[in-house]
Amino acid sequence: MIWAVLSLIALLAALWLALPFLRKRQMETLESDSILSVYRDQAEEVERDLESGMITEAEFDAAQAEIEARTLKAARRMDSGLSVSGQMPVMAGSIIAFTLAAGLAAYSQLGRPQIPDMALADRKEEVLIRRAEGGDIKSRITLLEEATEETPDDFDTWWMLARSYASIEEHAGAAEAYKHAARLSNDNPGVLSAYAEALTQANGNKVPPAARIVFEQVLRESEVPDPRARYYVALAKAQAQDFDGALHDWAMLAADSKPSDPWMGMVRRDIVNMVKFTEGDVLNYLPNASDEEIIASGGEVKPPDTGAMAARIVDLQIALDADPKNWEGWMEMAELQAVLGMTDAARATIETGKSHFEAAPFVLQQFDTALAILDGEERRGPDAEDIASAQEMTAEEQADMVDGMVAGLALRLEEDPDDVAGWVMLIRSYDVMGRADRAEAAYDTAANFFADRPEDLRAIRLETGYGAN
Amino acid sequence: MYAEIGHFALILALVAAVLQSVIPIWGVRAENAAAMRFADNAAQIQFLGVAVAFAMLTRAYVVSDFSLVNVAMNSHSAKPMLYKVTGVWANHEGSMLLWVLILTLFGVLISIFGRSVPVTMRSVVLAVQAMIGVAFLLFILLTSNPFDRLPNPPLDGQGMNPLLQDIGVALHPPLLYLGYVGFSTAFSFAVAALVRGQVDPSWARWMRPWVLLAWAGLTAGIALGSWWAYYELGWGGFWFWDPVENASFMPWLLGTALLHSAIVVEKRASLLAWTILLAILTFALSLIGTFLVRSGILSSVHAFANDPERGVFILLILCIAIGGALTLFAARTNKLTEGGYFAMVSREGGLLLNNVLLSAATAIVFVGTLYPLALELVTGDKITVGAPYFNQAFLPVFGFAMMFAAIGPFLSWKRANKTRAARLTTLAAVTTATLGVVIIAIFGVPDVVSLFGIAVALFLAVATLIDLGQRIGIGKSPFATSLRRMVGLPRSAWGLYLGHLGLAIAAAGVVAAGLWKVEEIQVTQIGTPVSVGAYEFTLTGVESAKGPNYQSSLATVTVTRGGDFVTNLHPERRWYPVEKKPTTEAGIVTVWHGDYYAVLGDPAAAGGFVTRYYYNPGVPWMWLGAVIMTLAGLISLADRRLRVGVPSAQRRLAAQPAE
Repeated sequence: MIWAVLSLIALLAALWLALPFLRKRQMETLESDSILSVYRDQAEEVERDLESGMITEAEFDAAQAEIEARTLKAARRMDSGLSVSGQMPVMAGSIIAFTLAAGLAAYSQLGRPQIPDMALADRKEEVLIRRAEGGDIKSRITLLEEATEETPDDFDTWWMLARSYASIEEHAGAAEAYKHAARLSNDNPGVLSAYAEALTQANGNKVPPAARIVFEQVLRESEVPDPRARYYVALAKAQAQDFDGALHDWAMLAADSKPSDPWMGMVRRDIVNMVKFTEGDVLNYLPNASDEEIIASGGEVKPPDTGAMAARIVDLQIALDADPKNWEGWMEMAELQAVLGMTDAARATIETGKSHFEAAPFVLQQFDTALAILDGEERRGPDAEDIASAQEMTAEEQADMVDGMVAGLALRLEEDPDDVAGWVMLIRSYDVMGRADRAEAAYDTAANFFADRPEDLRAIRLETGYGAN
Repeated sequence: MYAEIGHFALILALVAAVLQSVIPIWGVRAENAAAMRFADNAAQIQFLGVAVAFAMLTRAYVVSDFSLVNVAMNSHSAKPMLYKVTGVWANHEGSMLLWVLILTLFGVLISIFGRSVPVTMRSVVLAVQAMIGVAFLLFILLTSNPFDRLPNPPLDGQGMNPLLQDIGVALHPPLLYLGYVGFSTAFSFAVAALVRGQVDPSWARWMRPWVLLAWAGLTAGIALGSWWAYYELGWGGFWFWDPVENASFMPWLLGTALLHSAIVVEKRASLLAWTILLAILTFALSLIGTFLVRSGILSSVHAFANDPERGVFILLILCIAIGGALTLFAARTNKLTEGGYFAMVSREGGLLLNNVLLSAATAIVFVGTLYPLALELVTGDKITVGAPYFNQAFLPVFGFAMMFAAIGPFLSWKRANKTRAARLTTLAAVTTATLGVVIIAIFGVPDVVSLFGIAVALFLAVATLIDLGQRIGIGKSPFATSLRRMVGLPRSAWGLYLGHLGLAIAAAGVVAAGLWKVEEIQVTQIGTPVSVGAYEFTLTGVESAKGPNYQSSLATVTVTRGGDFVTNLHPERRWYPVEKKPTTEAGIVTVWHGDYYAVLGDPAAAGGFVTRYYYNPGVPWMWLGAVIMTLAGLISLADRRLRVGVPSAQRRLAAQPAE
């Protein structure tokens, strides 16, 4: 195709080039006429100048003579004055052949006929795909929209489209896509619940009646109650002025959920706000409410009871004397002593605690951190940075940190199991972390290793309380 | 397919150019009318081919076809449409294509409007044009092909230098090339004359319109470039004696000499050798300019190419074209029979002096431009020949040329009436001195150089007006007669008066800008006035704005004089995210005596902004002068006697106003 077009263009150009040689007869006058015209104009100009009075009669005569002399001189030099030529088919043919051959040959060397034009507008699809691959959600949405037009009965496409819309908070678009997805999933409760959530978010976070009906349907139909549906039904109750109902539902949801569940933050926040509004006691709904939450809900935090603290210290002393391998006990005691202003006693407590955990590096580290804080407090008081770093670390992060340390200890014991104190530490750590299964497994490994050393095994059993039966 | 059609059309243009450079020469030798006529057809195909290629490249820019390397490297889909189009020549490959487009345009114009030029002359001229075309088409196709393709084009282009995203600079290259390349016709006429061993008045007449067109284009192109530098670079200046500026200024100086020299050939059949040589050298300087800019020897906004292969190619073209032409000149110059003799004090004598002075001025610029380059090549030392050299060496010579431009028109051809010339010169000098005293009384005594500048500009303007008055007989004839004569003056006469007046006005502007310019650079807080000469500039606010492909900080600067509001300036600082480059848009308001000029700089660390404020007197005069000179060239071009279709012009005569 392209070669045909190019050949046609070349042929037209070649024909136009060859045209002078295809004319039957042509004649050219040589320069005479045009040279003389220059002098003719000069003579006219001199006459005009005379008429307008710019030059005198004498000047006019001199100029006229000069021009005439030059005209004669030019006329003498002029030759025949004509050149003639006839048709020259060979020349014309050569020119056409040369143009076609040279043009096409050079192009075949330089050109890229196989590459089509690629205007940006024609590359829309490619552009979208490459942008979507680069993480551009809007391009991804455009592509998915197109895909739903092609395969309107594909659940996955609608589902991904809805999720993409939701990720850029285009809730109306998300709701529409979830609706199709829900239909295609035969009203799967999870999909329905997502649909109703999108409806709610598109409605400015007010649960519309239609969404509430869907959520209630989800709760009826699913075997394990869908937490999202539970949350939004409660929200719907709150928005319908049924505050007690809402609080009750949220409290139930909170009680049924693990603290780490993703919706918990939202549930706790809503409980706190609602309690503040109804002027109730947050501890009725969130037994483990933090001091901050209590204050936010309008409640009051009890001042520290020094008497109780002192009593607790005494209890701890007795407990630790009996069982010194309880590092959290040592830490708690030191903390209480510090709060009561007994800094030296707190330091001594930590040092004593440390002496019982010489083989447990991560526990020592905890003690050292506590000691550093204690020293720091004494020296300069807590500064903004300390507070910030303490606040930065969530309970979860702290748990993670301890997890990491325990994992390190477990690894070390795997390589070098001949360490009674280490095993005690590991088993107790698991126990403290509520991982009784792991603690038992660790005890079993240790028991295996120390099978021929009953004394050591007994020490472990006594120190940890595991393997008693 | 469009891109490939463009590529193929460019190759066909090369094929046509090859044929065009051979067949007509044979035709002249064999006195074959068809072979001579062939030059016209070939010139048309050559132009058509390059035009189609240019159109296809433009199309690729418009639709953002990034499968062309050139488009991918120099455009961006978010660019405004206007700058997609102008982006075609805002890069090396595209600008070379534009160069050849204008070259072939001149060729096709000669083939169409040069019918009065006898075919023997025309075919040789077109053959020489075609040789230049072959060289540059080969250059484009082999080293700078804008139709190189990318099988897997990128998603978007890399954008173009945002400094070039501007309407002034968009028009600057086409006009400059109109000049540069236009002088190729003078070159071709000169070589054709040497080849045929014949230079006569008709030759000069045939050549002159092309030279006028080229000169007018170059004048406008230089002015636009200077104007762009003035408001876009934000340095407050308009001419920096930058090598690239000089590269366009040198052909202008010699082209001016050529323009005047050709008049002598036409009127008096004298200065033949001078004229031929000027025609060759003017084009040589155009090629040197192209070489300097394209080879990457100079680094500046213009130097998009820094591929040594390209530089060597252009150098080769330069050597063959200029070396060949000068050899031909040396061999044939003794055959040129100089025509009428003339006394030293005559119009011819004046124009000869003009040739000498302008050539000397060109040589001064040439040395100042190329000496540092040569020195760096030989010794590796980098030196800068700055404004002081040019001001001391160039300005006096050019000043003298202007003084003789004032006196020259008083002299008549062949032998001047010395008494009359002296009388008029004295009249002009006395008037100039009187006006000069008035100016000094108002503005105070300036330094010597400025005094000289004022005197020269004033003298040229006064003398030009006196000559005009003499010519139309003011004071001698009734006013109505004078007026009638003025209207009836030939257009070439208007070309003279306007051209010289334009030069005087531009020169006055340059002197005023140098002498009375006020510049203040400081960190300004919003609301704090800064005094700039007699004015106070106050930064009143900076807002953020968003353009089509840039973000912008738009400031408002209020100018007051003694508390009275004068105007508001809006300097801008733009950030182009695609190219990751900032640009400065100076805020300029022009009044008859000068420009108020403000530039917004970076925000200062301690709050406020770095600002530069200027009062630039005379600058608008410069642009006005350049516009008048360009118009003078065009008016002169429209002169009936230069109109190339002489036989048919007889018919048109009736429609002309009576002279």
